[in-house]
Amino acid sequence: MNPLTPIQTLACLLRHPVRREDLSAYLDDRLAPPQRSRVDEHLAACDRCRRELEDLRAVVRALRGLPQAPVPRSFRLSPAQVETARPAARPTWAYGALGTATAAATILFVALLSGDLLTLERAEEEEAKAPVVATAPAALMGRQDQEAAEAGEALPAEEDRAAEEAPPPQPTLEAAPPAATPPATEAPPEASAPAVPTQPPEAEEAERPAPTEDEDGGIGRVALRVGEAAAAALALAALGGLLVLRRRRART
Amino acid sequence: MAAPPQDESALVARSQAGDLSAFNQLVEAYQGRVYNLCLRMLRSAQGAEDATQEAFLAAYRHIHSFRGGAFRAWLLRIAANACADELRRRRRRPQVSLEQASEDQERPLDVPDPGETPEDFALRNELSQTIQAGLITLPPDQRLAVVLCDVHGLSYEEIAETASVSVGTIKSRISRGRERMRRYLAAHRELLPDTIRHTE
Repeated sequence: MNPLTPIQTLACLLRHPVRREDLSAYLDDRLAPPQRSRVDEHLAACDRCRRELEDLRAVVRALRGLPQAPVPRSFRLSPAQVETARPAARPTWAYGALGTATAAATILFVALLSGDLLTLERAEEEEAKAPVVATAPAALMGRQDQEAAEAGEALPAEEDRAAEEAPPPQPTLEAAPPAATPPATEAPPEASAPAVPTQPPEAEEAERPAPTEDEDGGIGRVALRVGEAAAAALALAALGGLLVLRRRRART
Repeated sequence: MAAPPQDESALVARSQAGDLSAFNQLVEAYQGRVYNLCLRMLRSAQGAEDATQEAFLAAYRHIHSFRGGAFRAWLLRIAANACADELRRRRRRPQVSLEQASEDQERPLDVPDPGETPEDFALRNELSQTIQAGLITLPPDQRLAVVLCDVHGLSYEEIAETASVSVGTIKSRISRGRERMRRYLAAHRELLPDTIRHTE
């Protein structure tokens, strides 16, 4: 056998686009008629590919010539052997239970997520009603009072509401959870988040529920998020169980 | 290779109902095929014996999961998994496989045919050892595809079912496996008889 050098192989492939895989399939008569004729034509013109095909044929002949070894003993199973290997009942109940759990947890997750997004949208709508006027320096200077005042000027009809929504900075700082207590310069903007759309992004807002008049809503949203996470985790766990079961079954 | 039993589906149904004697008839029908697959995959008589026994036990334990189709492919898949487990064990504990290899050297994979001269047997045994040594250099997925195709004569579809992959993947694995074998045998051509060593 004369194996082709890589350069010879490359040259052969460049001249004629017959893949080695095609030659192997050609041997097994697994090519579609048009493909087979193409290979036939190519073989008629290409010595190297013809030689390669003959080499492959020789390999197949060698493998087919491998003798079948006799079994060294009978592999019949004895009752004692199968005592611990009784045919396992089909775990259909497990499939059903895990499938239902996956579906239920997914529905719950979607429902909670929808609720979350809906409330978020509503909150954003409310936020949108308030004007955007705060500037960065103002924010750094504790702009809550300024914002309330500006809101009052820009939208008199919203005056009372804006005033309500802008609680004094002191209580806000006291109420803020220690871990999330920001520097004093950042606290007021967070407290007035519903009225100022130029505040930190929603994600940050969600992580740090504002303990303002919206406290109930914030706690509700946290509960919603916890529920979402739990439902997602449950769905993933049930799906994982289902996949493990299927994989174990596929292996047998 | 032994032909599948005539009443295979009836035997499978009885096995699924817990009839051990029916299952043992299936064992009798397929043990040669399963043992030889394990032998070619593991190149160890002892390893093949253990894997074969393991495969039949697993097949009995999970006979309920067989839902029709080619029983042979289903059984060979279990055997292939038993071989994969054994190969994994060997990778984890290489010293065990070395000990086993030295034991196996004393136990030839093939036995003389009746009427065969010792010289002929020696030649045949050497050839089959060379081919077997070439097979073991193939990655397990290519080895399985090549052995099932060229040694066991399974169709691409049956091999795909056994290996749980697509027919296209099998086509590619067979091609790559044969190419590796071609290179291996070309490097050991002095051991090959003229019928195989045709191009010089």
